[in-house]
Amino acid sequence: MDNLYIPPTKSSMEVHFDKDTGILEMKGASYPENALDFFGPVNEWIRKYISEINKPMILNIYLNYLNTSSTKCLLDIFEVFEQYHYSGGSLKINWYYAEDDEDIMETGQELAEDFDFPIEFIPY
Amino acid sequence: MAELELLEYYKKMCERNIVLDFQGAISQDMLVGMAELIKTKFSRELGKVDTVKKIFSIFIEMAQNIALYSAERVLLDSSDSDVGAGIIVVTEKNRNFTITSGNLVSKDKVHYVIELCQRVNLMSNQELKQFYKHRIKTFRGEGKKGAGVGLIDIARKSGLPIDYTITPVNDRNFFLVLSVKIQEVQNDG
Repeated sequence: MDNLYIPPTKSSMEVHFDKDTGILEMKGASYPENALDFFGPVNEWIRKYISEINKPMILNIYLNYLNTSSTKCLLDIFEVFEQYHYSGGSLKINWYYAEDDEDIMETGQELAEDFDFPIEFIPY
Repeated sequence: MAELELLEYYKKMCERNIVLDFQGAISQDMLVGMAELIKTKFSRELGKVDTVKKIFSIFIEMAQNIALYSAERVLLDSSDSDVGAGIIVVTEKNRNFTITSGNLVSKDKVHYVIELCQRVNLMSNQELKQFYKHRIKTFRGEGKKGAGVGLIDIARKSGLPIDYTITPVNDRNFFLVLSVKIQEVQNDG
């Protein structure tokens, strides 16, 4: 499998997943025209990484805005992570947020509420 | 004559404190342009991240509702799928903001929207949160583009009831108007 890189636009996030280091990054704002189309390859890459490589993963999130359909897509990804976590996979999420942006921190906390994998909220 | 009408229109917009007014097909490019304009303008004027983000995110959800669900569909050259058309207006008076959207909704769907508005308007913050969390996990909508929680998210961010009116325009469609107020967030930043 290949690394995944999706360049940012004003309404879609930058995605950089590295299969060799297991470090996954999401950056920016997400309100694309069709969130399912955008997140499809992202979700697929993670599933493939789990089935083919199955090594520790660190997801670094530097998001500043998620619309509701993107939030749903991220929730679907978190569900994949949860299964991975329960099956013994090593996973950690770092949710970075701008110090004065409580809104995106709360979005992250609410998303994480129902999951057991480790997630840390880090202001910058 | 045309010049005079435009002057009247201009005066009315000023009197009504309209900061943004768009009527037509809400393409993604148009939506991004308007959202960026709102962010830039209000960031400069307010300087408070929380209030600006509320306006920005409510605007995006309302505009995307028109793009996804308006019964008036327009096929644009730049896209292979049609986009919804409607009207969206942002006003500001003494740091109280209102975003109003209008679009056609088919007869068979309009009551769904109205019932949803009535339902969220009766809910406390905690109830809205639970409703949002339940629905975002279970909703499977038409075409599956949306998450089905736009209105709930808008109600949560606004903290005030969503005003709505429907007017029949022909035997198939209603014109749906949704109006959402946003008050400046105090003691933040």
